[in-house]
Amino acid sequence: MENLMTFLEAFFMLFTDVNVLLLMLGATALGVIIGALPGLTATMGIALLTGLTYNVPLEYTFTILMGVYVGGIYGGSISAILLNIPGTASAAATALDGHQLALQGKAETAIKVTRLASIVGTMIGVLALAMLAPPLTKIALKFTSPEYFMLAFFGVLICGSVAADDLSIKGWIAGLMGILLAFVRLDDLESIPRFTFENFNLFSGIAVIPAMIGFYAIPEVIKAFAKTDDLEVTEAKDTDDTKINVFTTVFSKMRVIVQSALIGLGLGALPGVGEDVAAWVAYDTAKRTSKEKEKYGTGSYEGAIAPEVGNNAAIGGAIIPLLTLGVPGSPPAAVLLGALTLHGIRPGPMINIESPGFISEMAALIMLGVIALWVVGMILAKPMAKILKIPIVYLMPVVAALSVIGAYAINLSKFDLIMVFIFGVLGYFLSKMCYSPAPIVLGLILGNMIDVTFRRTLITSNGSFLPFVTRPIALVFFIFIAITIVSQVRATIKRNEPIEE
Amino acid sequence: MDKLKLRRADLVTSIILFLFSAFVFVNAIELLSNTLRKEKDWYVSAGLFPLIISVFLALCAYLLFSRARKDGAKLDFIKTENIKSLISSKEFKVATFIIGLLAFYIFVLLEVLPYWLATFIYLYVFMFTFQKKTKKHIIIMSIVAVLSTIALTYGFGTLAMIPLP
Repeated sequence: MENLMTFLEAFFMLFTDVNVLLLMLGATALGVIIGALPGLTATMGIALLTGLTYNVPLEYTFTILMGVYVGGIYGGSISAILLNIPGTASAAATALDGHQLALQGKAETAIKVTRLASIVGTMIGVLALAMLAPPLTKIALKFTSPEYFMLAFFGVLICGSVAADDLSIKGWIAGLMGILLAFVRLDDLESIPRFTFENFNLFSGIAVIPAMIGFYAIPEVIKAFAKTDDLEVTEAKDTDDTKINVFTTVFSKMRVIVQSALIGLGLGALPGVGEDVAAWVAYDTAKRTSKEKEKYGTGSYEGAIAPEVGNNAAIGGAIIPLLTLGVPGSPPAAVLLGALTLHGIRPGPMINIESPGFISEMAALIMLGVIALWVVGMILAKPMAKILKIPIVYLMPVVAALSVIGAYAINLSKFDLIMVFIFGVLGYFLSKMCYSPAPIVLGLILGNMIDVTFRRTLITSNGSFLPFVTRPIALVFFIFIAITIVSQVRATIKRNEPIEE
Repeated sequence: MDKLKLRRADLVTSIILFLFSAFVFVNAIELLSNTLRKEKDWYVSAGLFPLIISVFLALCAYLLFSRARKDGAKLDFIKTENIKSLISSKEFKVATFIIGLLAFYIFVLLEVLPYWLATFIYLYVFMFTFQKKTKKHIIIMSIVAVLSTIALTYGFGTLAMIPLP
């Protein structure tokens, strides 16, 4: 109850600040547009704006970033409905029923329904964040090196398993590559340069935000021009005259809402897994447990509600491990980790002591984002069809230029521009071969923690590996890791029929 | 990319990954030897975890290789006509142009010109290349390039107070 009161206090304090309100409205609108435009994602939006907000006060920085996050995750559903192309990967499941509804002349209602579902999902995520995160920091205080090692390694592994578009093994390869990239720096324990090739710029490690901009933005710019097909945008208005009450439609699916929100929260809280997977699992579970399975994929409101509740609830879920353990639950949360560090906030078990009230403030900002989403969603619903028609020939060159200056702005380092270029090109080739950038980025973020906590455990136990399997929390993660590895390796080596040319 | 092409690419990738893991392994052994030479414990070494990861990576590369082989991929596809067809594909040309232009912007234009001018040239060339070459489109494109340059220069340089490259 005390946590809820602190959250409400923070919310009302922010709600009465006109600057915060206006910024939140603007940022959420920007987030919705970024999320809706195919090729631009919430992760990319947050990464690009982190550079722009470098000199902005902490409170306003996170107002902007959380607004873009909330707006971006919802925005993807608009293009999923109108174009059948999800603006963000987390809206891919929404396209299955959302676009069918648009084809049946119910585009406007579908947008309203998914907006309400997104708001409900985000609110459930925020409440979980406000209520669960503070007590979880107390549990997190019990985490020592073996637990941190196991959690971080499990995070990279599970992220690799679920984020892989093709084979799970590719997700793991991406995760291992990310971990190796994190080793490029001065070693924390021996204080010697490692894989730096005597380049002074690499002594402090590869900067995460420029790397993320490279991995997420540049490949999309290239892919956008390599496509040949033109977009067909459905008008964002109903041609079907049947009157549908949006509130009744959404809240009559209470079972699906609660189930999808729990899935979103749970998967969001898993390191690196995030909104994309949450949406698919929520959709699949809703379909499997529905009495009207046959309607899924043909324009079912339930099929549009489930993934939207799931992916938006994952926002709160992803912030919980970020703030309590310093381990991001999703790719956008991974960028937020970079932004937090830039502004001197150290997420982890000590956050309530070092930055009292920060968790409640973040939860309050997301709640404010929910309100902004409602307002902005109503305003942008109709013009969105026109915004989606912005030709990529104008949009993508600007995104590329924004990526370059956004990466430079973080450290004012020209070396970071080289990093954007290298990771952009690498990201493009990897995406062509179905390697997801999420495990690479998570590996890059957690790699140093994995290495240092592994060796610290060995140092405190005089070279014994026993603490990894004798401490209860570490043992649980060890079992999960073993099960994941065995099951995925078996699936990979399982004999398949050769592919005919 | 169709599945057979993907598996062929996987086959090549697995070999590159295997070589890369061997490179990391050798460097990690060197770091480990350095630690031991200083009479420190082996588990303090900066090379320990890279060594473990390089072994994992080699195993993953092997699994990828065997999966690609099981799916019917062979290394006999590296032929002159296949390389020619790859080079003449639209996607290859587009990717090469964009990567080249980005490299030119970062390594040449931003080094020798003020930010606003470098950005304008880059945006103009980029848009012009992929734009329909009608009078109307060229006018729109020019306006977009100018406004975008102003927005980027003002947004980062003045509003965010960031010293531009």
